[in-house]
Amino acid sequence: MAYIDAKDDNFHELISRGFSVVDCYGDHCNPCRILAPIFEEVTTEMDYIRFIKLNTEHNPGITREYSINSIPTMLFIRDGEVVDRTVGVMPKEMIEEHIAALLYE
Amino acid sequence: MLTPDKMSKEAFSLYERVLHTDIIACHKYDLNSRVERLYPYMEDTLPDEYSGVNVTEDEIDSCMEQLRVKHLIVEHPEVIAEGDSVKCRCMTEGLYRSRTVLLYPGKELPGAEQAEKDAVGKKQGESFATELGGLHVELSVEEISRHSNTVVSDKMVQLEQLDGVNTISEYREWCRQSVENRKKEALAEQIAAWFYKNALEKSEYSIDEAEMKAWAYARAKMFFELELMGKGQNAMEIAADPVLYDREIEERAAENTDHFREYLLQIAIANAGGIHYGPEETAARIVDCVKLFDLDYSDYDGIMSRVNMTYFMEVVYLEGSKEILIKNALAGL
Repeated sequence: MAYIDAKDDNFHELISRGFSVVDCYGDHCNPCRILAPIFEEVTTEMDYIRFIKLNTEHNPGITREYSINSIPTMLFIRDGEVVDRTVGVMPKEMIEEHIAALLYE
Repeated sequence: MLTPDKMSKEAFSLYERVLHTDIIACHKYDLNSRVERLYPYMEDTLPDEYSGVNVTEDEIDSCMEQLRVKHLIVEHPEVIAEGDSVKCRCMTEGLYRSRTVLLYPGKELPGAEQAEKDAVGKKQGESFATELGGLHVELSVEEISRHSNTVVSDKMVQLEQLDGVNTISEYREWCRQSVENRKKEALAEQIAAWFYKNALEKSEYSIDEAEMKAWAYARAKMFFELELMGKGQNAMEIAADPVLYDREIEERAAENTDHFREYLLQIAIANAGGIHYGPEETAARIVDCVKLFDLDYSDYDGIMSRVNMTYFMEVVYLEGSKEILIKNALAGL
């Protein structure tokens, strides 16, 4: 499953139903570059979860609304509600642990 | 000059009335203050970090990988195996009742290890008892998905229907171009901000102090009125007390004074790029609004609530100047 590039104007619609994981990144952020391939690997493995990437430099509205003060930030969202968030690079296994929290808690 | 013969009498009357509101007072078309000399911001040598963009092989590979992922073939096998994605429905009373439960056998996600093991071998429509998040539950299998590995091919490229792009090598070049354009646009925004900063500092201004104060006061009043709309009791008390009301606006006016110079600069940059906003544009906007919403010219409040002149002219110049700066920045890349 591929990820979806979100914009300020479609973000709410994208996360409104089901399970979503959002990678909030910036073009000039080295840790974001490290996280990107790990995130992409997870996106190819899990159907039914909506994987979203949000460029914080191009989408300041959502960035402010969700208080994304550091990047990379990952948001774990169930039916439009943020149930978990992480900041910084993390291994694939840790991302999957947070996804488990989204699914089974 | 706009005259009644150029537009209907009713429209002209409304237009004149609009010109006398506070909203337009801070957006005069004929300001005495102006930028005397717009700093030639494009002539500065760009700092090294703005000199250009590079596209790496990794970035092109990532673009190719996105194509591959996009065309992954999803199959729906009858029996669950490790590596599948499984959509279940919880049939047991309690926490998960009727909830969609997603299982990924083989991933051993915390809390779902046993359920993942128990799911293997089950068929679509089959129910099974298991443990999930420490609870005993019965799950019903609704859908099973499995990805087949795919490799990028010319056929896959052709499915994208890009003009003149039919082979893998052509797609790689398309990726390179796309990434380069995206990076150039991002860089142009940074350069535009740098241009703006330099132009703001180094342009020469002619400021009519009284006009600047009047502009700042009208703008502060406009925004304060907007703030009061929809606010609670505290705002009502301020609005009802002339001393408090004036003090609030005076404080905001002081902050708005700093913005006057920027407003003049935005006008100068936009004008130099061919963007102008004058009485004709205001009148045209009013006429368009009346037509669009099928309004009556006598309904002043109705029209003004629809046409929303507030801040409009400033936005035209703010966005117009940004557009010109980015266009000029891109031209140098």
